[in-house]
Amino acid sequence: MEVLASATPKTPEITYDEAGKRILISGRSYPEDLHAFWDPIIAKLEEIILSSDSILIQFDLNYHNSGSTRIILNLIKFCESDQASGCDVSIEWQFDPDDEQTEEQGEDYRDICTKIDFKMVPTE
Amino acid sequence: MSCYRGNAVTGNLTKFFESTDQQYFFAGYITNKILDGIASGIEDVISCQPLTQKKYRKIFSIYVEMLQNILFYSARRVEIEDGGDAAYGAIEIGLDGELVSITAVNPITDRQYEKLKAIMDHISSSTEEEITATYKQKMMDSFDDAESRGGGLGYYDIARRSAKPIACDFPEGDDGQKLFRIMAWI
Repeated sequence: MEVLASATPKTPEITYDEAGKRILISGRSYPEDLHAFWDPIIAKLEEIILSSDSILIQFDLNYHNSGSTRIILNLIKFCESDQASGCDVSIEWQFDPDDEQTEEQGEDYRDICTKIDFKMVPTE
Repeated sequence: MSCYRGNAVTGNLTKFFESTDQQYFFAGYITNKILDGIASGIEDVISCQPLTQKKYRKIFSIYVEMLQNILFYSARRVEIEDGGDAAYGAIEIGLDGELVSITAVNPITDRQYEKLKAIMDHISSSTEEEITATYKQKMMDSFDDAESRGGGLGYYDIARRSAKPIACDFPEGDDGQKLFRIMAWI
C-alpha cells in the first residue's frame, strides 16, 4: 500500500493499493492552496490509471469544498476520456446515510458519469 | 436589509452578550489559523447541541465556503510573517428560530462588485430547481478553468443548501469601501 498523501484536518488521505488495484481517497478536502495540494496528486493518479488495465477509485469524503468539487470532476472526466480508455475504471462513492450533503454530492457526480461505472455505497 | 439582525458588537457591548442566539462571531483580519479555530468550535460545540447537531455538517460546509471566500477575495489585506496575507472580514453563526443563520461580510473592489452582483441577481431570480441546474452546469463549465478557485460555484452551492433564499447586499463602509454581505440559513 502506497500512501500518496497523509490525512490532515483539511486534506484527505490518499492511498494506492497496487495489488488490489484500488485508490482510496478519504477524509476531508478544503486545502488552503487547492492546486498546490491536488495538482501533484492528480498527476500521480493519472499516471497510475494510464499504466493499469483496471482500477477502483473509492471516495470516502465527509466534506469537500466547491474548489475540490472541480478537482474530483476533472479526475472523473479524465477517467472517461479517450486517453484513459485502456483502463477499466470504476468509482465507488461511500457516504454515511445520515449525511444528506455527501450523498447529494455523490449523486451529482454519478449523474455526470456516462462511460464509467459509478456506484453509491452507503456505509454502516 | 431588514432581515439582518445586525452586528451588535459596534456600540453596546453589553447588549452583544444579552443575545443567547449568537453562537459564533468574529470580525477582523482572518487567517487560515482563524478558519481552523472556528471550524474546531463548530465541530466541538455545534455538533453536539440539540438544536444544531443534525445540521452541523451543512453548517460546517457553508462556514468553510464563506470563510474561504473572505480569505481568497477580501479587498482589505495585510501581509503576515509567513509570506502569506490576512484578509479582513466578519462571520457570524446564530440561531434564528428553528434555523441556524450564517452570515459573512467582507470588503470588495468595484470589479468584484460587478461580478458578484451579477451572480447574486441571477440566484435571487432563480427557483430552487434553477439554482440546482445552474450549479450542475457550472460544475461542467469550470472543467477547463484551471485558474479559478471555484468560478462562482460556491455561491450556487450555498444557495441550494440554504433552507430559505439566501440574502445579500452591498452596503458601504464608513470609508466608502463597498462591502459584500451574504446570509444563508440551515
